[in-house]
Amino acid sequence: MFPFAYEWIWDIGHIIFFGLFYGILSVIFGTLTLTILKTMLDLWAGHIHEPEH
Amino acid sequence: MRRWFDDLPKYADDSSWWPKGTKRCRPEIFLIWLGLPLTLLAYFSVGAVLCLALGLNQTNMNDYFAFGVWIVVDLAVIGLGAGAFFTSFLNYVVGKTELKPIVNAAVLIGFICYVGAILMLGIDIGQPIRGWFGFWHANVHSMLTEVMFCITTYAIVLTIELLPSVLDNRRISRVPEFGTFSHNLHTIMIVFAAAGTFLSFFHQGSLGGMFGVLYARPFAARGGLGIWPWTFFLFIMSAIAVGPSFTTMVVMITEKISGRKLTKHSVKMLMGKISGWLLVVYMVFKSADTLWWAYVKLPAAGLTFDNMYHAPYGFWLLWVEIGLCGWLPALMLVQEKIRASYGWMFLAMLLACIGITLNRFVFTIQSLALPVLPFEKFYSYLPSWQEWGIASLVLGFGLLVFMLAYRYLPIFPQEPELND
Repeated sequence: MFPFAYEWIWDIGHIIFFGLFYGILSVIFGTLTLTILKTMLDLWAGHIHEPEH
Repeated sequence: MRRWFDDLPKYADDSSWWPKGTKRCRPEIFLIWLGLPLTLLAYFSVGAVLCLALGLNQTNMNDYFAFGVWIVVDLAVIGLGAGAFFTSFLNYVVGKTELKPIVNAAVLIGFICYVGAILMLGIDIGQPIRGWFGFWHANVHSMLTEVMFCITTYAIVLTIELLPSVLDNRRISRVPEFGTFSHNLHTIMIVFAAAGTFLSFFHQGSLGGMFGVLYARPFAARGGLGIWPWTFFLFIMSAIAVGPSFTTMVVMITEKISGRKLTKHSVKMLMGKISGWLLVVYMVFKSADTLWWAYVKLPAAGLTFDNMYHAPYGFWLLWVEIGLCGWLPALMLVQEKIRASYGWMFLAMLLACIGITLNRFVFTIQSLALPVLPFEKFYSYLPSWQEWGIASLVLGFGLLVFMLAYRYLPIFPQEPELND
């Protein structure tokens, strides 16, 4: 549910629930995106991680 | 036929995919082993098709038992799978690096438990294609909304945590993009471990909290702290206590079946020690909660302790849960002599895992079995074969994923040196 949905109410329950939910999703997918970007930069710079086997 | 088997390795040699320095059984033997999880998944498919096509009348759930074996299994595996978040938390956040050799296995087992539970709940909700309604039409006053948010999000975290093990496969890691991505994921894993800890803390708690706020169900209802009933904290404590035991137990079973040493015994002993002391703490609070419930809470509601237990859900369940599968494994696991013995430690861990499963069973089934209105009677519940079929998904899916992961992924980094 997003704040523009008709069911949304600006009360403490919605703010806490969805604030934490979207907050943690942002952390997870933000970190994942940064890791993908760093990998792309590493590859472009030629910093390839060789497997240990 | 014999010639075909003799010729097979030429065409089906998958040894270049095995983790470095390990040995696995021949592909045809592995395919025969795969028959076990595939049979269970076929059993699940029959039950699932019947329940989805004909409805929940295929189950023995009714107006009394809105929750059945699916919820018991769901709560049990989510509790047992807590080894993933707690071991990751100790390894990545606290810095207990002695647990590094077992953290991959813990994450894999957690992934199996959570994804298996979510798949099973897909059938339980009746219309899986409407599963997203819980997110869009969220009831923010429900503990279960929090559980649903956290379990699904944590399943994503577990998938990300498992990804480096998949990318570290001997063949896959040769692809520079995958190898580098896996390396970068390893370096940032603390963020995912911390996010997983946050999510797990709340959904483990809310699963217990849901029972504690069932004010019309005297077996489950409890007082608490603020909006959180005591069961909120007891479920967290029990999950973090037993999760490491379940992880270690699965590793020990794998060692016995494969005939290979996978982790040093000192790592297992450390897991046992963590589990044992946390179990002692949990049992102190659980015993105090039970005494307070029996001598204060129930009399205040005009009920007695005796009212809560009827055959087949008699007092024996309480003694088995708190005594035989609670205090006994707790006291066993805190002793170094017991932990030093492979067999005794396994027994203690097995008892602890049975204890938490029984705890989830009584909260789900016994709470609903007790009459709460004057015209109601005491009922007992036995799942139908279709329900067992759907519950077997967790086992079938778990075996399948674990067998494939054990064969192809570097889940146990100590295996090569222990089997030289």
